Amino acid sequence: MPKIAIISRPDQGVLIDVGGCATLQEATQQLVSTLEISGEFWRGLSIELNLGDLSLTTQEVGRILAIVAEAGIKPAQVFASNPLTVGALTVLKVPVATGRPSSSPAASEQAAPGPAAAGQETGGAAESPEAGPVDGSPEATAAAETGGQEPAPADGGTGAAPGILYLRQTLRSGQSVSHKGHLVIIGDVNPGAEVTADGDITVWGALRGIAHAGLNGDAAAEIRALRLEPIQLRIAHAIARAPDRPRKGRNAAGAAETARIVNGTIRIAANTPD
Amino acid sequence: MSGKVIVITSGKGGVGKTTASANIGVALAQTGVSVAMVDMDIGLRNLDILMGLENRVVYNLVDVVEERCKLRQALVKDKRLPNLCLLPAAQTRDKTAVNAEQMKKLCGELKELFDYVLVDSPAGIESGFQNSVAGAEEAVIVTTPEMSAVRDADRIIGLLEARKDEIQQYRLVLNRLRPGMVRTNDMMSVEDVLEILSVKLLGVVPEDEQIIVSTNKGEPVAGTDNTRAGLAFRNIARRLRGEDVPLMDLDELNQGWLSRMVRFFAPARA
Repeated sequence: MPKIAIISRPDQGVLIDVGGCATLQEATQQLVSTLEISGEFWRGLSIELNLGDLSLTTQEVGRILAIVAEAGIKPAQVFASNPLTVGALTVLKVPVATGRPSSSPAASEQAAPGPAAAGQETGGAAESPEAGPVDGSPEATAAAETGGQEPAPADGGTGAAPGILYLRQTLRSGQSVSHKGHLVIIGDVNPGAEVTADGDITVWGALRGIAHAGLNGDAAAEIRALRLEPIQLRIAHAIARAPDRPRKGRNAAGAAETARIVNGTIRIAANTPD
Repeated sequence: MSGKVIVITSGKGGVGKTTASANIGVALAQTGVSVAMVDMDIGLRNLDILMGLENRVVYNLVDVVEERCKLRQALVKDKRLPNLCLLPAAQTRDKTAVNAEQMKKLCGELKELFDYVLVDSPAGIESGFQNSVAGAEEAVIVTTPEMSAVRDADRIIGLLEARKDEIQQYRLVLNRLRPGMVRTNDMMSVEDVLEILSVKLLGVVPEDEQIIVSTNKGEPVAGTDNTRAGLAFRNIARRLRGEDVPLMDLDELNQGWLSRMVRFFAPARA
């Protein structure tokens, strides 16, 4: 199970959190597999690393740094709470911070909305020709400096808008990504995976897991995917779940769809450009 | 109310712990008692899929333990049986997210709300298993008639015996038995397994293709009337409730409808 969290924080760049791993072996394995699939994505980004409670020798820290260096990452700062690890980092002359980074992975488990809104099925959603423009949602609350990030091909044609996390990766069961701005995933979100964002969520692939847009209560947030087949959708405080039996013929053309809140409930409609 | 906490465990993976949990849960609830199923396989949760409740999961066991929600909020009600609930595992966390003390407390709370609390343990003998048995007073060991599964079940029984003070009773469910193969000596028989494990037998579940169908549909076979495995699980539930139910005749079950008819008429002709 992946125990590495990648957290994009508006004003501090991206944090790679290895703190969930119990052993060095686990940490290295997971780092390798995580970074492998992300390819060149990291090069040039401002990145911090959290080693959590791992107790590592100088040599072991060196191995971890070598793995991230291979992916083009030179961490701006490394967090560690274990004294041995902190010592090792100091020896290696890596900028070190003791304790936990400001945005811990627990943030990805943020309080889900109350169950009051539950119970409505996405499959039952009427096709609603809603008038609002697709990119009508407010920009992410926190203006971002995901800084030197490569220009994200933005969903609504807004160009390289700040606060967009652009992830070229398939999220598998158990993996979760949380982001303060808009989240764009080039790949699938499999059942059992969870993506959450304060802004919109766009999946260029199949969304089959759980997506929660507008995490901070932004009811104008939207979720769109090439194949929108989620187990559950959450926007702000509304929840919709998949029908218990798949409906044949729904969206037979396999067109991209958008989910948004209409009159307090989540509705799915074809993703029509303005 | 003070219910009974029963852990369902096996050591080996893939022998049918979760299938047994789902079916025993459904079968128990059908007898009229209230049942809570707890999925302890944090990070590899499946019980919600077998129950067809995946899309209704909002909160999970770790949310309860970490006090992000109330216990009642995390309980997912079954689609068919109103007296059956599921407490799902967290999928994006791992086994270290809870500890034995927290599980004890949780089982204690569930016991107050339900007649039966079924804890679906993960495979293995590490922390996940230890946490699963922490609050239990009874254990159901699931095994298949294979050497490897029996060996692992033996190991588990040893670990359960070491907890004599808490685990008052443990019984065996022999899963996926093929009577035809037993007859030709290609598979261990019920007696073979019991001889190795020397443990009380709770039930024998014959191999049944319907299990695969039901897993994919999210409707445990115990809920439908006409499957062999479903009947076996319903018998197991009745035995858990203290009823004395004889083992079903597996040879009978294995034969087709026609041969049974032939056998029925044969003495008359002779």
